[in-house]
Amino acid sequence: MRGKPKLAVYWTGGCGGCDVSFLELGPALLDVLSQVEIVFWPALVDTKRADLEELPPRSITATLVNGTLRTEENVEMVRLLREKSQLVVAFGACAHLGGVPGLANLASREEILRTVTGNGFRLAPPPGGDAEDSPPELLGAARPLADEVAVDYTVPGCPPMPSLIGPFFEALLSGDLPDPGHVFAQEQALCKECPRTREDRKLTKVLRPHEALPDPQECLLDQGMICMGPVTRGGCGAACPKAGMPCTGCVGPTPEAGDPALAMIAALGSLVRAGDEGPAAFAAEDRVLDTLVDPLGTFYKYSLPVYVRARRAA
Amino acid sequence: MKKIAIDPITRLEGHGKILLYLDEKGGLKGAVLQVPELRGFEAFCRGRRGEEMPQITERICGVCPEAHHLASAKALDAAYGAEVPPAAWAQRELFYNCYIFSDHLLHLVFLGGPDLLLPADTPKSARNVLGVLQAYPELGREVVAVRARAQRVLEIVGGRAIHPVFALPGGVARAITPEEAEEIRSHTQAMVALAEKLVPFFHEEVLPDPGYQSLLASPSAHLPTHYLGLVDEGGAPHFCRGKVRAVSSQGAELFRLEGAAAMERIAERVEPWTYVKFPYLKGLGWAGFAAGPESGIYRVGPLARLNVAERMATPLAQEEYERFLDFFGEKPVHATFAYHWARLVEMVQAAEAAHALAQDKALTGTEIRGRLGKPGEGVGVVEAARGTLFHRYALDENGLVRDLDLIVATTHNAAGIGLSVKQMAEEVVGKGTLDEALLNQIEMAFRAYDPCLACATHFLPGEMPLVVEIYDVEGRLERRIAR
Amino acid sequence: MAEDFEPKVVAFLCRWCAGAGADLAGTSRLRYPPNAIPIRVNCSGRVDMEWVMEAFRSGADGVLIGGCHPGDCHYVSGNYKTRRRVYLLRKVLAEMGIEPERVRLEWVSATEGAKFARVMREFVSELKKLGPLHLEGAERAAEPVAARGRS
Ligand code: SF4
Ligand code: SF4
Ligand code: SF4
Ligand code: FES
Repeated sequence: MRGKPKLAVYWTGGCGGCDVSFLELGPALLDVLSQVEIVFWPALVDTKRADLEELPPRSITATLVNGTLRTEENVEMVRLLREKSQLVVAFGACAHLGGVPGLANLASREEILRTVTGNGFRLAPPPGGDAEDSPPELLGAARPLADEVAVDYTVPGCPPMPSLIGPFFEALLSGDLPDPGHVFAQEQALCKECPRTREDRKLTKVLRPHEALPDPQECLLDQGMICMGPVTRGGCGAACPKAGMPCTGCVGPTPEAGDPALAMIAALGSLVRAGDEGPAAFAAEDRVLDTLVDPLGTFYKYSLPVYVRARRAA
Repeated sequence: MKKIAIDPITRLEGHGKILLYLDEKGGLKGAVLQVPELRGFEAFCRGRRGEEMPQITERICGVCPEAHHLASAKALDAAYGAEVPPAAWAQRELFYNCYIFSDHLLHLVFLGGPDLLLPADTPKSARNVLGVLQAYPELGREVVAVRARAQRVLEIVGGRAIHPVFALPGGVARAITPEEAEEIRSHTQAMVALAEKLVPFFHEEVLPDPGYQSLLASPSAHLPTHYLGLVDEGGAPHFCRGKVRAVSSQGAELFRLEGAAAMERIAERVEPWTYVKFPYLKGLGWAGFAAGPESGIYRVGPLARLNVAERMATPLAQEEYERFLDFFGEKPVHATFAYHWARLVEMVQAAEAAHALAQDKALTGTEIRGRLGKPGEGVGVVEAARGTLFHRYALDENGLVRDLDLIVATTHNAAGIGLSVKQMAEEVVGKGTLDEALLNQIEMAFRAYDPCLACATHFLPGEMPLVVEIYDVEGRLERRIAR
Repeated sequence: MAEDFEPKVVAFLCRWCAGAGADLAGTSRLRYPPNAIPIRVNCSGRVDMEWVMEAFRSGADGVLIGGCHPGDCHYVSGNYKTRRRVYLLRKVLAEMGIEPERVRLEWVSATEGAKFARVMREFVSELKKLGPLHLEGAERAAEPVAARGRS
């Protein structure tokens, strides 16, 4: 590679946490910054869209996109960036899986607009402006980056933590990149790196985090909390279980688990008990399962747009 | 007619573009700050588990997730009628002061700061954090290192540095160990040491700069609005507890109320031509897009907090506050670019307060959860780095969110930001050829607020209007610019 | 539409019981609607909920899971696990806007050919009432996730 690699960072419908997450590299960030040339990064530098449009195709070494795709403008921008870049990286859960804003897909675009703005909502250009100045249309649904452009790598997490960003930059800067499609996290489940002791105990109740103070050493799932550890990729160091809170799955499901909701349903189906198994316990088992409220929002907190594509037509 | 687009506006949080419309003679016909984003949090938070809200609403904004996290937890405390034990509050407050410190540092070095720390003619390719690091290599590195320490405290207490997981209705997730408390103290000490260095740095390197002096004095950046912010019992700014105090543009107290009651005093103006709502003080009513004593428009954030306060809570901050007031010689201070200085005063208080909390025995207390009642409705209010943040939830009998309402910092400031950008655009357009440096000056007008468009648009697409209606002395509408 | 709509059913049948029950229904020439595509499994406990979703995405209007009666499962508790999984899956389907009745779990022993035939008749008529399941974006979803987006 001649010269410093050129880097672009762009946000679509996200929260900015992914941009800020670079800063979590702390002093190591300065080393990374000194080894790359930043050509576009609205959060930190003043390059504008017009500057970007003038760049020759494939002149950016790598573009990291964070945020879910939410508007037509998002799509235009990521296509433009794809054209200008050799590598495109889905950075963070929103770009990877649709992310928390992807929960919006539980409602239709029309319902969202209705909740937000009331009836009779219409986009318009500012007075005195041309049609092209009106705000961009919303897409019908929130979508992950890979729906619109080819994605070479994924750095997952909401936001990706330094333990996941670091290896990506190492690979990028050394030029020793893994096969395309690589996700910079473990293939194994989070439970492997979680310090809590796990015994696959039977669940006789579902406990919500505010309902009890969990034992500090024992597995949270064993204690009845819905922890997504068994179906989530490792790589974050089990940050949430260490902090006394169940994993909500931000790094995304392991390749083995696939659909995180279905994988959790399989796991919970095995673990839930209300006394001895058998017809006499059915009703009581159902009551235990009923205490698991909002399963869709719980299991697909970060990944609804990828796994719940098939939606019943309204 | 000519159109100039600044797209995207940069070094702030979130998406935005500015459109300027000029007539044939190059005069300004209109200016629009467009925020082309909508994520629909309002819609999809309904039906989620209440206790998840601190972890969902924080995804509104990755720059101030801590503010949403805690506002949300406070709303849940109220919704469950919980008494939060002192040990839990010690954790929350320590965490929160570290966040304010860290966020203000972020602005200083990465976002708005480069405008002030670098000469106005700095080419845009260098007008950023890298330029700052080149100009001030030592201090720059120290800022990055100490910010990492503050973030480390956030990680210890919050579980994760960005998008923390620790606050729950009635308390926090787990107790802090004595070893952790010791590590925390070493970090908060470094924070205080940095704050002690930043004050003289500001007075030697930033304040005397003629560019900054002229911005502070500029009539185009003088906006006499009312102000709103949290204060403690002694009248000092508090970032996450206390009462909401409002003072008028002339400095008189308008009210001092608990969060829920204060929220009642705020109405939101809906304008047919935009999707952003404009909060204003109900008591004064809506008098169009104008500052002044009769208008209900108020501002929030660092400058507002210093304006509603009677003093600062900690000694070094108090000293700097006095220098600040002496400089302006009036209170409230209406100079928009004083937001930057106010941020420094707050950074000092946050560091000192964090260090005091780190030494408090309560921090390692093990009684960290208050008893919860039946789920109902509640309001939580905190001061985000950018200003007052309200969360209001109604929970159903299963503790699922039935309804919610958020008023975020940048939304409170929407009208003020619009007015400031407009003022600056008029001044800049009057200067003739619109080069890049002049256009940046327009961006500087709102970077002073450190606005967070991600917060402002958690559910709203569309435009923040930059409407100025200019009235003649008799109050007749003389000119309505743009929208 | 209900008149000429013939629902497509995928039936996952345990080979020890429901599968044998279905065979019996066939050899006994019991009349039941021919809408089901039967798939034999070793135990209802082996039915991956992913298969159920895959069936819907591939055009099924209903999915039947047939397992051994309580106490008769060859793997002791496969049928109990499946019962709990189906209970949860149906909740999730409901939230996705898919009628939970489209997934049906039945205990059918090897000797209950008649029961199998009755279950099928009931299920098909219920699905006719529900109408076809038209999933938006189903083709896209059918693509394996890992392959999407590669250049
Ligand atoms: S992945 Fe998480 S941190 Fe990143 S933009 Fe999305 S919500 Fe924010
Ligand atoms: S607490 Fe969660 S991550 Fe840790 S072992 Fe248990 S299930 Fe796995
Ligand atoms: S524990 Fe789970 S939710 Fe928490 S950071 Fe790790 S992957 Fe994300
Ligand atoms: S063997 Fe038939 S259900 Fe398990």
